[in-house]
Amino acid sequence: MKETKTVKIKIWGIVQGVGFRPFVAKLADRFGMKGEVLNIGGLVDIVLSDTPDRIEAFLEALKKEKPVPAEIVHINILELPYRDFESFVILDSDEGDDEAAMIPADLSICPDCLAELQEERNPRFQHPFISCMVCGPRYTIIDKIPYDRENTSMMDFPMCEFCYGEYTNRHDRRYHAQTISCHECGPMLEYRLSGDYPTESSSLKVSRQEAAAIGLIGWKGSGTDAQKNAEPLAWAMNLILNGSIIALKGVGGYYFVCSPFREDAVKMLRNLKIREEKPFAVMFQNIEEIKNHCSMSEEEERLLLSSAKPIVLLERKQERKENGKAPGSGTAAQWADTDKSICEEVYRSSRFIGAFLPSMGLQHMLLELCGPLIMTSANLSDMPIIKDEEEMFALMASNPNLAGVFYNERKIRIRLDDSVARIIDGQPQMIRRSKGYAPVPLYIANKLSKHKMIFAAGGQLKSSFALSKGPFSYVSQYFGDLDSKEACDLYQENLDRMKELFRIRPNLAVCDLHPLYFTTKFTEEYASRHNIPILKVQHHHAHVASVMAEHHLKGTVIGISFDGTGYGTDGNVWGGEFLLCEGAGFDRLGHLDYVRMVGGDTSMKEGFKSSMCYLYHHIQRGELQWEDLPQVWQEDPRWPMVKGALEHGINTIESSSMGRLFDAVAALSGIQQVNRYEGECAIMLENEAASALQRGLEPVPMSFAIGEAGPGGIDSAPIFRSIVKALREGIDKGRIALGFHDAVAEMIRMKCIGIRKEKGTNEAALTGGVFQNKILMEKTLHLLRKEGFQVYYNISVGPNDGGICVGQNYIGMHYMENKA
Amino acid sequence: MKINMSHGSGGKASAELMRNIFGKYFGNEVLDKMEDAAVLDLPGKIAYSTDSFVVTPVVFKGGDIGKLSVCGTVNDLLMLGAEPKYLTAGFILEEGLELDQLETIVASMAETAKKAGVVIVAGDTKVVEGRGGLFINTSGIGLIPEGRDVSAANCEQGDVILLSGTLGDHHACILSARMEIENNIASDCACLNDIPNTLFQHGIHVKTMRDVTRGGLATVLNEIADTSQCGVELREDDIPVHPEVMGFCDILGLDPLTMGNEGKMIVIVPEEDAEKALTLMKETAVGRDAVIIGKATAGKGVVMKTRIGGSRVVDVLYGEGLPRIC
Ligand SMILES: [Fe+3]
Ligand SMILES: [Mg+2]
Ligand SMILES: [Zn+2]
Ligand SMILES: [Zn+2]
Repeated sequence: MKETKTVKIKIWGIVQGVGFRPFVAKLADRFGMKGEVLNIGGLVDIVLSDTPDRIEAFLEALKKEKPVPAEIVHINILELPYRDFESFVILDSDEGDDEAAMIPADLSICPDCLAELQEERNPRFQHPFISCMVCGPRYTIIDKIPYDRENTSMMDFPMCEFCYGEYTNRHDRRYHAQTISCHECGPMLEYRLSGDYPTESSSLKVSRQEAAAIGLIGWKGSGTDAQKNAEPLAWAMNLILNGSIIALKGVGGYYFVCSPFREDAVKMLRNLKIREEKPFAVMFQNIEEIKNHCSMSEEEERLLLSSAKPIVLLERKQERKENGKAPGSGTAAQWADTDKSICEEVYRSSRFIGAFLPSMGLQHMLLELCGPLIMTSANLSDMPIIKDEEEMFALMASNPNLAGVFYNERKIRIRLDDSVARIIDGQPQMIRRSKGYAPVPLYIANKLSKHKMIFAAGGQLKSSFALSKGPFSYVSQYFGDLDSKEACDLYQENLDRMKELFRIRPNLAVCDLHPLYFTTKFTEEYASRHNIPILKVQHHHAHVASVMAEHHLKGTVIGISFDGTGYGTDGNVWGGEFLLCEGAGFDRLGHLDYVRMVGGDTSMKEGFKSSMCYLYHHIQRGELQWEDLPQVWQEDPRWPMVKGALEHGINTIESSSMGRLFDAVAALSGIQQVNRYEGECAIMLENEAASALQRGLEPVPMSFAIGEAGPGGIDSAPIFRSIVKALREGIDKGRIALGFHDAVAEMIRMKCIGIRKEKGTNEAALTGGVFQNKILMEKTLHLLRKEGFQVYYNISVGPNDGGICVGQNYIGMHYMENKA
Repeated sequence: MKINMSHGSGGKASAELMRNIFGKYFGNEVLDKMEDAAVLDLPGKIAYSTDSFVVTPVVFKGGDIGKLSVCGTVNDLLMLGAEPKYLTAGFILEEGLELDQLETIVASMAETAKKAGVVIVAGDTKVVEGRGGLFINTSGIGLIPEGRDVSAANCEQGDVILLSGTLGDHHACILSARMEIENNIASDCACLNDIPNTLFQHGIHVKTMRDVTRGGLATVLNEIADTSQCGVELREDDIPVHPEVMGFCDILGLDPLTMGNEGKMIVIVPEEDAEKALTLMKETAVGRDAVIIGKATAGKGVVMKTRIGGSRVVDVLYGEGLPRIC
């Protein structure tokens, strides 16, 4: 028989107020284990006496079966002197000292509440804001901790007697559910239509009968309150079916909503958002409905259904035009037999659809009436998402594209966009960490005490910051690109707020090296104002460190850090980097050879310009002949300017950016000339490669010259020679795109083998925006694993600049540990 | 004929150069005395400024280094509310400079000075080894009439900011020439006397004036925001840029807001004077494209309202070509 021992299992995370202790007790009973469980200063402690094997099995089950809203961030196991227990008991809460305060992320509607929402006799039948102990908004409505009703914006809605009864009943599933409400006492769905619409309900095109016929259930509801909802809902449906755009207040801000079947509406939405090209996310009623339009793996299904309800990038199926009429204006009854294919205008050239499922009752109700629906953050271009009524009313007054605002009076305290994730390599990877994840911290292994606190400012694009206390890193929501003053103000406001909520007073500030980032300037000012040291971290080092942080990597790691732009320690633009990283330091072991490029932010968007700079570079070196270029390139009228700038060094920079190389190849191959949104050229290049794979085409063979030739050791001349040759031969551009993907993956393999030989490092981290490319990522993983490398990549934060703050935080932690 | 070392020797060649070129064009009462220093009789408050000019090419569309060197210093004096009176001119000539070219430039300087109402009262010439280049330093003195108080520190919340015309012309013209690109972009190089003259004549309360030179509008406005402790708010739509200049900037990744000009200025006036000031500026040749571009606010720094209704922080230029986009 194995030896029995006593252990204390300390659990950090969202473990209080979510029914965690009763769950642990039940689980212990099932295992026949003896011991105790208690809340202590925000944590849960479990003390058990049993054999190591059984304890391990217990822990596995604990992680797997935990209640939905519970989130385990870190577990620590400590052996105690042996104790004999008679049974398993729940002990009363112990105040303890405040280790690491945690606030739950916003939780999407649970199955029980959804059932109640649809159950006619239920008092909360069709209550758009139905929630319970395990579901509902959290972070977006909180003012301060502890998370109690009076500390949230629900304090504007005093509970009615009925709700209070449930709230105080230990055995009710709404016992202490802070967001509890009903038709009687909760927020109401309200609406205001644009001045262009007559507001008398007589002008509603949906008649009562029609509404009932297509399942506008509110109308047949018995309670008068359900009927009150029915009027705004009928209006919303009416507007959507008629091809209008409405604004709908969600959990973390407003959405713009319209039908993905109506090309006219989607075009209008592009106008409204000033968003020419980017695909829109579509919300579907359920998994089955998504399957009509997208292909889906089991992992993707699980991710879609997870409590955060992220937008998941799914490969789109060919839309099959049904035999119906094109959706024109008309009544709801006519809607039934109109064409239900998602129009191209929604996704444009993307091969993915950002699909997601409803996260609140209101969305379920609306989708049931007229879903699926485009549900996109209500913001203009790169501005922050709109959260307040006044702002939305003002927009409607000035913008004829917006037909109505559907709102409620529950205030949103913190703006959160929907999160975006995908499945790669069979597991979820975050692309945009926001609603449903923020502000649950990441655990980054280190020995710092809780008094060691760090502010890591993040980057400039897809920005977020991190605040850490000991080993816990609280990653903020996504703020988008910090190009507008509004976004910058929001960033600062949320920093203050988060510091207050989690009582974090940083003793160290970390930011990027780039002198022009808002975050750099802000951090310099912040550090001097608070009189704390500042640490500047190279961008690509931070990317690699974000992977090291997530996977608790120790020792050296080969970082393959590929993106568009990062400021290098030599003042050049980096972006195709091989960095050997350890602790807080790194060595640059190789990079794409520098190429002189026409600079400035706008140039970074123009693939044809990157292409010209690359061509010029290789022609100058005698690696390529002018006559070899395809005719259209030789005749391009923009040459004299680009050449002139390069020859005379006017507004130029040295760049080793992999992102720009992708742009150059996409443009040269005639695939995409400009980035109308970030990464468009690279996305289109990947699409072409995907289409070649689908058609079973062979890649055009090509490879980088790797060696000592250039200062970076990676020369793209042979790539350009192969592409130029293929173009002259009229070879399918899909084959070129595929060949290029292969060449990049192969180059990574070769470089990694070389570094391993020299340094003995067998661990590799793939990171940076370029690795959002699924084909490149999977090819590279495959090649490196075949060589026996241990390969890591980002999971909980994006491989894009959204993860930069976590990498900075990690490096800051190491820096502090070394100082201590 | 070309400049050689003997032209700087102080000997016969130097004297010939003085007589045939500088004397011929600059000749005036003070200079003709050939004393070691100019003696000036000046009453009251004096503005005094200096600037060196090193532009290549030395002759460009819309001007040359000579015109530039007069306009630059005259404009600097004007911006303090001064009436420019006297200039000095120092020449550094590189061996190999064509005498004809020098003559053209000196003639252009003299003509510009005459138009601007300034007299060149002292000068100096040196010859150095080189590749036929030419550098000019000018300094100037102006009188500030009683009661005038023009300063970057005077700008207050609510004041209106006017710009005298399109941005980026000079910079784009010089770059085009350096790149040997054929286009119609001409430098805006000009003396701005007419603008302050008409504004003061008509009793406009001019609080601040600045010429928009190196570093562009972004730099000037950030300096004003700093000095005056005000914010500055611009409207993107109101910033005038010549379409050809815009196209030029687009392809080179340049921002007209940080590009240099040599004949543009901003004027800051109280709100009640704004419309009148605009009308007066538009009546002058150098200010015919004048516009109101924004106002001083209670905020901090320079913020531009974009076309979509957002705001962008306008920073001073940092180095060349450095992008932030990932
Ligand atoms: Fe990056
Ligand atoms: Mg000057
Ligand atoms: Zn629930
Ligand atoms: Zn109630």
